[in-house]
Amino acid sequence: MTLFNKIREQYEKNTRYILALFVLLVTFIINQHFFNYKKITTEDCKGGKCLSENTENSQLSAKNPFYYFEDTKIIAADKFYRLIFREKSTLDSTVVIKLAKQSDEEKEIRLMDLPKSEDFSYQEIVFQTHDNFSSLFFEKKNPNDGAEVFLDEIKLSQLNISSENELASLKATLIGESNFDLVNQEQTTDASYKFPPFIQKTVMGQIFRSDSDYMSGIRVNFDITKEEELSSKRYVVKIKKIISDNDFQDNGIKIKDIPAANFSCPVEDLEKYRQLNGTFKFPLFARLEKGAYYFVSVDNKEAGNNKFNYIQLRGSKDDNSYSEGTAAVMIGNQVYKIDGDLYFAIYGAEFRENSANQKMLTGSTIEDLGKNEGAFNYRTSGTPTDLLDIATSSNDIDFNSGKKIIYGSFDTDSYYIYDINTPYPLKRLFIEATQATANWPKVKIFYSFDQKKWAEIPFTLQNEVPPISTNSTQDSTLNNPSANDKNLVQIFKTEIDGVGLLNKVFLKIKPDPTDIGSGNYYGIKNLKITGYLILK
Amino acid sequence: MIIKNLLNFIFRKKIDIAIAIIAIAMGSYLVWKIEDIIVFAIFIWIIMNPVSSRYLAYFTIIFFVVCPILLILKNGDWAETVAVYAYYSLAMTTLMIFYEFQNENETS
Repeated sequence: MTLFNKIREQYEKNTRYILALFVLLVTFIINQHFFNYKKITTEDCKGGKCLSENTENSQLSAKNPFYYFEDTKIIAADKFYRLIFREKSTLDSTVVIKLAKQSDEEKEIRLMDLPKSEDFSYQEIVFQTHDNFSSLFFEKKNPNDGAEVFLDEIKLSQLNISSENELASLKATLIGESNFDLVNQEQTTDASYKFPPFIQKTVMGQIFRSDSDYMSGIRVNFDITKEEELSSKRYVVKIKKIISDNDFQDNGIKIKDIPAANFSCPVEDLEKYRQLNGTFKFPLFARLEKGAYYFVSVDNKEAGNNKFNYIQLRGSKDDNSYSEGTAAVMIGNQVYKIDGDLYFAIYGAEFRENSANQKMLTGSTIEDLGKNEGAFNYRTSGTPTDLLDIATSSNDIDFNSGKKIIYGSFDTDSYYIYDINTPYPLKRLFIEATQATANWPKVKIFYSFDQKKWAEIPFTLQNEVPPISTNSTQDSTLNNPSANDKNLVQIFKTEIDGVGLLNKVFLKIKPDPTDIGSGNYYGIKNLKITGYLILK
Repeated sequence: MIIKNLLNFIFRKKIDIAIAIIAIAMGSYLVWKIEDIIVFAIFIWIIMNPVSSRYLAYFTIIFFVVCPILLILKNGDWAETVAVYAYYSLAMTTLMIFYEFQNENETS
């Protein structure tokens, strides 16, 4: 028998085993070599090496050197105006603020140098007009300077003064500029230990004791292993915060089912949250109970954990590196303490207070218009910071990052309340808001001066996509939702007479309990509160 | 009696068991999900110990039926998993049909 025949005989005898081993080998080779994946450590990204380019749409760039302020009313001659806005620029840049007539005649009112900054800054300018104008716009002095300039919260107010001498007597403008860079809790001294990678259905995090009423973000440190080319099932990092009922020293710590806040992002957006030192800072806005324990967790279950997609949290093996808490894992709904502490920092929130030591809503302004008249302005920003402006709410209230609104569950007990304070008595207050979407249940909005007597704010119904016609009342139906209102949204608009005595108004938003079957969530968008104050 | 039968089975199928263990070890090394490791080990076992393609086809049909039901129930994650299993069982069914076809040829 030749060698060939021997091999052939063995092959025929063991075909199944050979085939099984062949499948094993091919599977192994495909898994090892056909997937391109890479590991990115914190050290690789130190010094801003991994920072991704900002993909937000800037208002001023080389492509768009002009930005028109859309809310401009007719700017009358011989009047004083105050312009307030927020800006940040990716590089040093210079912006010209101009007024324009319909005849395209322009007048420069201010040349502003904007230094490179990662954070928004408020700017305020007062100017006098000597002619009538129809629009106000911003222009990049050098469109090709490479800077991306972001502008928002633009407000233009006409002042009640007639001479420059009166300018000096105006009170300083109060702006609700909240600080979200305040570190409340941290263990950032030791990141030498790499916790074992997540295994299935396990969520890892840190228990900490809150010493603040608010939380605005979390900084964590982890190494990432991810595929070079992302599959349709995206790798997601999710951060949940769950209130703990028990002492964290015990095993099997009970936690509340509903997270106080959560945040998720697809893997392609992960680098947007990378900091200069290589760690990650994620926004996580929540109202906390001072002194209570919380479990803040990083969860990448949705990433489809495998050899090519996982994260490895870093911290300290020393259990005493953070004395008020511990690293922990969550399996199912139970949290178990593990030795060590994560590298972490919990960011709080510091709110600007007005002259009467009352918390100002984020981005709100109180301006002196002159002649003892003031103006109050607030509008929701469409960012998670809106959550922190709520004074009280039911537990289900959260921020919907897709719709960029605050929303709650369609439940008779669901509500959220704004507490609008001004240090000066209110003359009049205007409230405007729009139902989140026609596909969601209707909403009821109430206002009160004492939280005892609540008055409902009336609404009209309009097509969800506004008609081209500028006459907004054309397609409106007054307060009587008809059977055909499925594509109509509620438009709330009211004027409250403060009779010059009150300086506090409460605004309550809740679902309309009669609108059953329209969906599971409710909410409003574009909340705008403006008012006139009596400044004495 | 049971232990004796088990020992007999292990002795008889020692190579099959060793290869199945290699499959499980490989799945663990590649950090696969437990359910994926189990399915892969079954796949390897069936290559070595063929079963009737009919039974595998039943599983394929069941998975294909369950998949849209899960989608209707808005359980997308499970629907995706079941779709993968449907694909696995379809692959195994096809493989078994080849086996059976080859055996038929040899016997005829």
